[in-house]
Amino acid sequence: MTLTIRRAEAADAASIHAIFCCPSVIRQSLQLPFPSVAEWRKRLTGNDANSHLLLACDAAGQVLAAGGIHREPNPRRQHAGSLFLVVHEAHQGHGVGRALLDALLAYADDWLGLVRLELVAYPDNLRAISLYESVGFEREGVLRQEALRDGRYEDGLLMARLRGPERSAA
Amino acid sequence: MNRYRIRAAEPEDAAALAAMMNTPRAYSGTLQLPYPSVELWTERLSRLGDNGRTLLLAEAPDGTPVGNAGLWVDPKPRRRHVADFGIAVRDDWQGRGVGSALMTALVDLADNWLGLTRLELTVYTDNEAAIALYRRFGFEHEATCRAYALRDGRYVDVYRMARIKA
Repeated sequence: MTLTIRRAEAADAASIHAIFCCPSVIRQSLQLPFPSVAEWRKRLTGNDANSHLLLACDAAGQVLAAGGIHREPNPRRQHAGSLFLVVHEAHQGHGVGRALLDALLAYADDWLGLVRLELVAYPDNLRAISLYESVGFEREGVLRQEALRDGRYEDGLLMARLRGPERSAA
Repeated sequence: MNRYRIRAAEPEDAAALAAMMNTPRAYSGTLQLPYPSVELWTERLSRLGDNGRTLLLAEAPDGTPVGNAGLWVDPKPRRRHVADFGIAVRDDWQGRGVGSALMTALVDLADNWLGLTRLELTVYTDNEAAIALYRRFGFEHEATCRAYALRDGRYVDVYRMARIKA
């Protein structure tokens, strides 16, 4: 499949909204059911210099996956960012997430110069965890009752990947 | 332990907070920068209120602020049972029960008035006094985050600790 990676624009609100309407995406994220397009438009036009949101599209231009890096605004944590990645249910398991993840990591490493990338995954999201491990994320610990999901407080697996000057000097 | 009066931070406390946080151990042990301005603290104090942000002060018997503790309820709807918090004690008042007095007040607020079930924090892995204090209040180690923050020229690790209300 020929994929195009590009930055998300305000006009992509409906496409990103469609991904976040997928039950498994809601389940494995911190988003709520019944998201609105307007809310996504607002997020996309927020002009937050620390937010970097990329999309993976097919040859017809359809948005298949979204992912982003949020750089920490605290001056003592500007070397760190959090990463998220979501793939539309209809397009999971075809390497789309991997391609977008590779682009996000290159962006974080080579253009933002981030030393630490972190994320939290639900421990039962095995496919995501093994994808993250395959690109160098390591398990740092389990956060108990980290988030509400479908009526239950679930744990979160904290993962991080270290790169950059600190790593090579060590 | 009740030598200290715990009260809400007020807008008029900005200068005292800036002074308290302009001591090397206070900013080294937190995520704050050296040379904090009074304006920065005025702005922070203006954002407190009913949006889940609380800042408490501990006063010595003569009324001098000697420590502060902030609690931030997570704004994400699926994490409203969670709050993050931070404590700082003026350098020359460390080891005298200020942190313990602040913790008692914060944990009571979280448990009995805000109904929070998960309290979480980060602490530098070499801050043994703080780690011991948190353990006494039921916090447990959950994760070790590598290169979490810059401190005096180096990226250093933190522990993530949390306390779950039974």
